[in-house]
Amino acid sequence: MLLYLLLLTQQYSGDGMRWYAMITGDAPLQLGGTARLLYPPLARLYFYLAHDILGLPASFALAQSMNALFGGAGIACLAYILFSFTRRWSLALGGAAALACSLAYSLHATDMTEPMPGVFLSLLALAFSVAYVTWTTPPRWLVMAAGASVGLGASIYQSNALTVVTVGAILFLCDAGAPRSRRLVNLLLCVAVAGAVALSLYVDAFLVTGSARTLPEAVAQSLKTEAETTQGIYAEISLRRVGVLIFGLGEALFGLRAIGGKSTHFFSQGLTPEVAWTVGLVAWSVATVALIFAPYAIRCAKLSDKGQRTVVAGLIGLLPGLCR
Amino acid sequence: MPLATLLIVLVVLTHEGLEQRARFMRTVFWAGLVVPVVFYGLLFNMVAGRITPNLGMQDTLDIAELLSSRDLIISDWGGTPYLIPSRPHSLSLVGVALEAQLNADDVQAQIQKEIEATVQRGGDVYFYLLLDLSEEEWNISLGQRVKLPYALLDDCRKNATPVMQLRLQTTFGRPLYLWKLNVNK
Repeated sequence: MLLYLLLLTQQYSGDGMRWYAMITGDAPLQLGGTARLLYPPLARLYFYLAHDILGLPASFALAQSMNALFGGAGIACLAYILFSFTRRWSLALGGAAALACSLAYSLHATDMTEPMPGVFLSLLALAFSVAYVTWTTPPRWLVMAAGASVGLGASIYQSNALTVVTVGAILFLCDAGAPRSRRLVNLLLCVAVAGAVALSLYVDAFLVTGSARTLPEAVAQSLKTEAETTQGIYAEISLRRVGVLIFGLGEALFGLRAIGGKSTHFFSQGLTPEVAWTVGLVAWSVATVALIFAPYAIRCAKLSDKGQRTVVAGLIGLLPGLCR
Repeated sequence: MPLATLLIVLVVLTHEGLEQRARFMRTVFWAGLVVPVVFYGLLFNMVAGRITPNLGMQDTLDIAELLSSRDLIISDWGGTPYLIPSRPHSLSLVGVALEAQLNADDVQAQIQKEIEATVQRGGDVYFYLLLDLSEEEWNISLGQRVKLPYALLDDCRKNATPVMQLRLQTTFGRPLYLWKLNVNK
């Protein structure tokens, strides 16, 4: 958290800057559309508390600091999750440090972009579900808290709704000591709470702001996906997409400057040093992941039952993210 | 979130592997993943992002000095990606395309309507980012994704002149200008 606060970026993503006038109160507050519904009100509330109540000077950095706080809290959640699964602080801190310094995470944690508060809530939901499956006598409110966090996260950044798949997989697969019926009830309870929280926030927001006049209208607006509102311009199934997945890992971990906006055309200028560096980073990322899987693939190592369940739950959780 | 989920899987695999292949797993986890990502991320992303001023932001401040509230700025996503304090009217080509359900003729008509409205109120029309794109650059984003043909702005390309060179460049490193449309008032 401190690191993010010290290293708030001067790169200012346009995705975040477009909200700045609303965040400071210079422009009328509006909802962030279906995809980022509650982001502007949340950022405005934070800015109001920090500037108007606590007296901190208004600046881009003040607006960015909200993400630094959420980013740091999210990393703490991940460290807790990793420690709960492994009981090794070194692995928990190492894994958390890797996420904290990856481009995919630090980009948002040091700027005023929309995803960070929702990502924190998604990691919090995972932490609640992991607490439930690792504690000896876990209270059921942890399951409901996991669902509520997913629902709240989805109302800030819609695609966070996909976290319910990972949370559900953990609750169903990793709670090995519980009978199947109880695991199924927990799974359904979590999904129901997530859906109820998200839908009620969406419907209330649309009704309160006057975007919808009737309840059915508000529900219909709530169920509109980003793909619909953008005419599906980001939905794509193609060979290019496979390349994006492979390069996406290198981009998420390191950030690949030769790729920036060029997509599959980045070879058009030949094998420049920048392109070679990019290819090297992608190869490094893919090789590292492959090497961690390798001992199990070639049967030099075996997974315990608990390990198997956790890995399968994680892989299930990856599927919707990769299909987006 | 996919990266966080993948890291959970990788850490669990490393933990399980440590019992059986300790040296190998430890080396791959720390030397292959944690140390490079932390080192590269801190140095080339976070510290670099902190100390390097954003050229687009400086361009925006220059543009803001030139444009008045009567003017119109047409760009891919509307305005510039940053702040324009004087707040000229702005038109997002992508936004118009989405409203027109990706129908290029309707987009063309909407652009023309906005240009006429600007001229009527005594303002000038500017283009940001769009007229400098090569056909290849245009097709990567506006052509393939938003289904807008490169020829959509041919008339504007013929009748516009560059009024300011910007610090930013196009994706393929071509110079970027702010263009002003020459219209008969």
